[in-house]
Amino acid sequence: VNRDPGSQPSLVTEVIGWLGFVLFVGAVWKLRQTLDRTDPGQ
Amino acid sequence: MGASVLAQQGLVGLALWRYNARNDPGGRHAISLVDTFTLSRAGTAAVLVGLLASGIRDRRGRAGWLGWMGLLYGAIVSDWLDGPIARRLGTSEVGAMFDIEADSWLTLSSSALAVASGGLPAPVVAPPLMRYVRLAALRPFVPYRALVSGDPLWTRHVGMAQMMLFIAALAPFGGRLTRVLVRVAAPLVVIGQLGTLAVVSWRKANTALRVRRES
Repeated sequence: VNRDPGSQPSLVTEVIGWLGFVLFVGAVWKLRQTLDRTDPGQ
Repeated sequence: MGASVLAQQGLVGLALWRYNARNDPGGRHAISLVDTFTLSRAGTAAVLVGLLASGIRDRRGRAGWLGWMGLLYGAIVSDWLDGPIARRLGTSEVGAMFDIEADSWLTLSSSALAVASGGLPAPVVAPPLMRYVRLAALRPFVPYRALVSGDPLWTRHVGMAQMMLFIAALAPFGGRLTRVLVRVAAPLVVIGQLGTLAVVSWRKANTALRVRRES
């Protein structure tokens, strides 16, 4: 199961992966802000 | 593995539910939906430990993706959203403690997996381990609540940098660039986190001793 550590993903794969990560983090952050803004307790 | 984690978490839930039914009929300590959301973070930590114990070191394969997605769920979705949801729906008295302990457990398990599968040096496990050593050492002098809360905001930023290091090290798509960044950041994060632990421990121990002397 353990992959050859010598083979690495390409730079394009890497950049796309991190862009996806940033979008994901941004979406969760936005959702958190929305939940806080519409907090009925505030 | 998933079934065993579910069964284990289910038994913990059942035990707590039965305990509450007997000892807390008013429901003050009852486990709420938000607590379950927070505790699911500890569940994902258990998945990481399972991956570590399995010996599978395939960061780019299915096991790697499972661990990484679990880590994102625990460190970002559950950690960022349980607070706002708790403020809306309310939580039990132990909700805050679940939050802190689930965070620490997830940090420790992700650091161990990041060493085993993510190529990080072993010292990155030191700060998450030291957190428990510090708790055990200071607990006789400082109350638990004072030990785990009231830290300045910058300590949270150092903690976020630490978790970001583990996320980057375990990223299934991480290539040469990520490897270089992770290798440069690892010693800085370890030094920063150990320094943070030392500073906050020193302050809290001093405050506790001063209060004891004055009373």
